[in-house]
Amino acid sequence: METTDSPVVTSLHQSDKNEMQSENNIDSITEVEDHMTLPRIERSKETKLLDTLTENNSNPRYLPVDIQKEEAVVFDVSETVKAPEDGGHEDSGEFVVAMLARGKLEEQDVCKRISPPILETSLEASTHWDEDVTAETWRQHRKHVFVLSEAGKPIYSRYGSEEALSSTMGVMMALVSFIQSGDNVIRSVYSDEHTVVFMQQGPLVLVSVSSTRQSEQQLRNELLYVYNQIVSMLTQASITRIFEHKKNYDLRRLLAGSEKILDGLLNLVDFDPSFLLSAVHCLPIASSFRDSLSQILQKAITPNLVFSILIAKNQLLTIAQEKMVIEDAKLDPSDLHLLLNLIGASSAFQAGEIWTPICLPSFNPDCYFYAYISYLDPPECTVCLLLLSTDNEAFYAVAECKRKIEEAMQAQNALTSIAKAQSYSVSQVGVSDLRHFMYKPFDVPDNHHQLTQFTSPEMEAPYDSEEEKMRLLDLYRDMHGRIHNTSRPLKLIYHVGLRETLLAWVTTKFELYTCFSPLVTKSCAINAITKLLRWVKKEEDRLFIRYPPKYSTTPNASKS
Amino acid sequence: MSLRELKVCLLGETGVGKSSIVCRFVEDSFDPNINPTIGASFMTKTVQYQNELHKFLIWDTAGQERFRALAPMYYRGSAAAIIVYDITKEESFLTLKNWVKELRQHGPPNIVVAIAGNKCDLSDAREVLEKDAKDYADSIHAIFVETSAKNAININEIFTEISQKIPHLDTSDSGVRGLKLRREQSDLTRERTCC
Repeated sequence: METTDSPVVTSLHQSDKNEMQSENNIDSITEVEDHMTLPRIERSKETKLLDTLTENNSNPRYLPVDIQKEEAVVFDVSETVKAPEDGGHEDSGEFVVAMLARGKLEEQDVCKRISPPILETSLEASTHWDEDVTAETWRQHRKHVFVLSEAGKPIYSRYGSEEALSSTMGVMMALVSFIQSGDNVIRSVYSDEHTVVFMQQGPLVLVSVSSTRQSEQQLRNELLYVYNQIVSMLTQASITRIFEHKKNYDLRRLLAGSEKILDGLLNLVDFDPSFLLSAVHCLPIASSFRDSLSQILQKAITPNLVFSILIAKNQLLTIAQEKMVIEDAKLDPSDLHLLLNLIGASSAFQAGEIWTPICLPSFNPDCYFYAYISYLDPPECTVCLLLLSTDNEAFYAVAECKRKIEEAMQAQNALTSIAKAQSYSVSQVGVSDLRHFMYKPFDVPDNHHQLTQFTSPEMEAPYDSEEEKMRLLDLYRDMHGRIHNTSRPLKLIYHVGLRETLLAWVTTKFELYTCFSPLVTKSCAINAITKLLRWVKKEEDRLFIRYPPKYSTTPNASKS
Repeated sequence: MSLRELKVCLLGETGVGKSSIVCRFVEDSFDPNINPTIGASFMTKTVQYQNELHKFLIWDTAGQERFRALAPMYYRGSAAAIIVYDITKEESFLTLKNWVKELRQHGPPNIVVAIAGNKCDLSDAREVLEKDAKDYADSIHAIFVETSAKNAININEIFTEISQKIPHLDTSDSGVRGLKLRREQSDLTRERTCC
């Protein structure tokens, strides 16, 4: 048996080679079941040192107390568990539902994925479908994400092809169902190097294997995003129905061609703090300009139009919403994140006008909106208009709205002004030693129908390389994890490291993360924060959408 | 000169080159790394045909299975459908036959069908014989051409042939005006219970 080094991944990998073993061997892990939940509780003890000055350690190690036991768990399981019979190669052709009627499997096409040009990162190339899953490099990825069906069939893997990982995923499913058979739920496994988080959503099981030291809650949140992105393409109701019909259906048939949307999402999750903060980032522009854009959207309406969203450089410019609809259900930032990711992850939207069904899972996981998506500035394609209607026949009417919007924007020369708009530099705040911050207010007016937003300057030197960016984000994630620790939430953390000093502060009015140079003193930092808050207050009309515009497109109040 | 609007939709398996054909026709460009279409993409191009201007309203549909149920929304009311297969993939030719059947059953009665065997620049990897496809096309009275969006072979021709085959202006005007995309009784749309 191997020792401390990444027991989970190692063992999962070993199981790839293991021949399937007989089912009754599963019994041999019975006695360790209870340990599964232990280490997690222990973990929070480690975080007690928080507000004291800690050694700089961007990846503090939370060693679970009973590693020994844990390893026992993992190893017993992996070596005895039986992989699912079909090994992922079974053809699902017999499954006939009207919508799926014909066409053979599109699995071959899965192999034709192209990595998204925009989201490619230098830390890790974003698509690794042809990666050797037995290689050490595969195991060394910071964060793996797997999606599988209850039958253990692979649906998605962030790295490596799903086929090659079918037995690994079988083991994961076996873990889940074994714990389930004891009327229990497996939530996570901690090892020295990795955190493995399991999440079941209906017939899908999502697994994150991470060496990032993020909190379980954060990883769970990320898995939820992955699940929701899948729901946004298929709806929860149809996923449920499909698996009711046939338990071992190969969902990749329906997701073919969408893998890069999931790849893109996971890259965004790593690099965009919007996901961590569950808040939307607006492009800062003068409030008068934002208002005039909002008015343009408000005027270009047609029956059943519910959301008009203007996006530039992947950030929100403004969003106009249907009154009645938004009173019924609030638009969740996470739905907006999924939309932004969808648009950013595929260049398919750059050609012509797109009309596609899309589900907003937090809004309603079981139904589709129809999205009209078109760039307003081809061929640059930085300003994107997104119009959501509840009527699948509304394309021509909605396209007409776009024409109106285009004309009105041209009249005001808005595209030129948008092109000039950009994120700001932290130096504009005028606080020395302040390197970066993220500020999320809770006291926005009209809070009930307001999108949660946050503001943050560009990441500048020394955080201008991918590695350094990631390191700062990891520090933020760590602070965020401690602040939101469910068993011991904190309000204020002052963290002194070798390379920077961080201060995180949550009040009823805001959530704030700041990064200072390492030489700052505590009183200096507190002074700086006072200045920063004053600056944000002064600039808030420019930084945030203060009064989200509304319109009314449902003359008769009757809604299904 | 009179202007006629002709609604044309492209159907066929994912990856056969529907979007590339449209891209070549509309913008005369080719992107080897084109992304899979999401939903359907709408584009227009006006060309002169004899003494008329034909404005093609092109619905380039996604070939992926999850968008299957939406197809009727796009082919209903179409004057013509271009069904595309990949000459290097026999499979895609079988899918094409299914599309023809579906159009016969549920499509507009007078729809002009054009069959495009795309990627004819890759004849080394050919799996579908030109003769077989031609014979099949003849048997269903469809236009047939082998095309290459990459090398701009037969792309404009296919649209010209559609222009030729479209009945002259009188009864079967299939312009957008007055055209209704009707609701499809499918799994996808039946759930439209939002709000």
